[in-house]
Amino acid sequence: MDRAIADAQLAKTENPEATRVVTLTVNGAPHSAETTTRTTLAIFLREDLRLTGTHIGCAHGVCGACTVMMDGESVRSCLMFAVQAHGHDILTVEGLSNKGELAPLQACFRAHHALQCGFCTPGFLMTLTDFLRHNPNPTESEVRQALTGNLCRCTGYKNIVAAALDAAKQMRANAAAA
Amino acid sequence: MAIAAFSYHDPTSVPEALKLLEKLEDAKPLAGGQSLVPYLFFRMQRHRHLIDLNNIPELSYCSTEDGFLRIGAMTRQRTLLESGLIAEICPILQDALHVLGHQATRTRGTIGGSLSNMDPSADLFGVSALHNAILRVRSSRGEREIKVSDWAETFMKPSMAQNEMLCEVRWKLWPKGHGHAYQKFAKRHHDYAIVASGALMTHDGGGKIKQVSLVVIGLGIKPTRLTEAEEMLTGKAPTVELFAEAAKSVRQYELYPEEFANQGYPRRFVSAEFRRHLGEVYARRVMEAAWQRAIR
Repeated sequence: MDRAIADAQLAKTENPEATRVVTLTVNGAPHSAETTTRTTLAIFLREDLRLTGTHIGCAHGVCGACTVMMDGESVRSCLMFAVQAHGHDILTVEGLSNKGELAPLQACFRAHHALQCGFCTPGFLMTLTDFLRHNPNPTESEVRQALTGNLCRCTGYKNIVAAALDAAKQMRANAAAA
Repeated sequence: MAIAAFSYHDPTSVPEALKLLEKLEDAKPLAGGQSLVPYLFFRMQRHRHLIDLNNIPELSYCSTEDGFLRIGAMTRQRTLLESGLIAEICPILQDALHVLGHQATRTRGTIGGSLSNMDPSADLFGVSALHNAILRVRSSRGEREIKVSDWAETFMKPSMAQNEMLCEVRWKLWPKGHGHAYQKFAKRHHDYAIVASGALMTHDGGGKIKQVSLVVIGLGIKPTRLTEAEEMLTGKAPTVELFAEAAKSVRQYELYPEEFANQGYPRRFVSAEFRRHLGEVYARRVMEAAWQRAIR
């Protein structure tokens, strides 16, 4: 069928611009906003909730900049629709620090100069937060494999890997002290 | 680019999803979305309706029954990769998942979505072919089973009708302690396979191969089972030379039909000759690795 005719029919008989109220928890706080069903989670977080820490790089699942955690596991927020996060628990980069104090991973990124322009950094932090929770004592090779889904055009990854390994060490020490 | 407008549906049971699939014109089930959503962004695909399967818990399970492994279509790749049961009974599935996508894509990506998308580079299609998997598809009119060897209708299209949906994958488990290996060649770690190969092997206890299954993906629109090499190896005491000879048989298999040979970047920049070469090299490597594990 001709695409223009199909589109005209679509407009008449269906409702692709339907909106839904999406209610979810972001960084421990409840949020609710109405959005179209084709809005991605990344755009919902940035534009509807004004949480602009989550960055959109490629917008099709390659670069990893938009990585957030849903129910404790990292996901690409550009490859999900906001409506799919309804009722779920989201953690974004804004939720990593505690009362203004950087999380150990963030502090290690700063100490090791693991960012230059910083655009990809939120995605790296969320990927590594998920990874280090499941693998608190990784090898360098394991860290590098965990980071295959995140692209950085500035650093060459060396300092990011160093920061991740240092953070893992500090987090183990903190856990042992607790 | 923004995704073209579609109507969103989120059924909570399989019958409800099948009813929507039957009733709506140009409806597409949405599984993990790790391939479909990019296709929608690129407008390589465009659908009037998306039927989200993520709220159907009955499609997510992993169990064994009478020596068969049964996996629900919406079982996440990450769940399978982290499963203690899979590590014990079907380790090659984790060998493949380990090099498939990234942590964040495996969180959402599902086995059924991967098989239904039917990319010739799909590692899970390769693992299913190694095991002669049976795929159970359902529609609101009934259900049927499709052998994995009949799954490909054409390039990136499974042999399912518009109103059908993949619900379960099952395959016979290999004996405990079998040898296994899965390796792939990609442009970067965990990327789409240009070529990948998998092997399953058992040892007869006297230095000979009892049973063997071999597959190469990336040679054609569906996984290539190396049946000739399997016959050559069965009942033999393996040597480096024998594996090398068996791997040579990769070269006889057909490559992509010409019209698809350049579609998708894993194929576009890699000549047919280089793919055959890689197939031979990787087949030999996984045979050797699987045998080493079989005799442990």
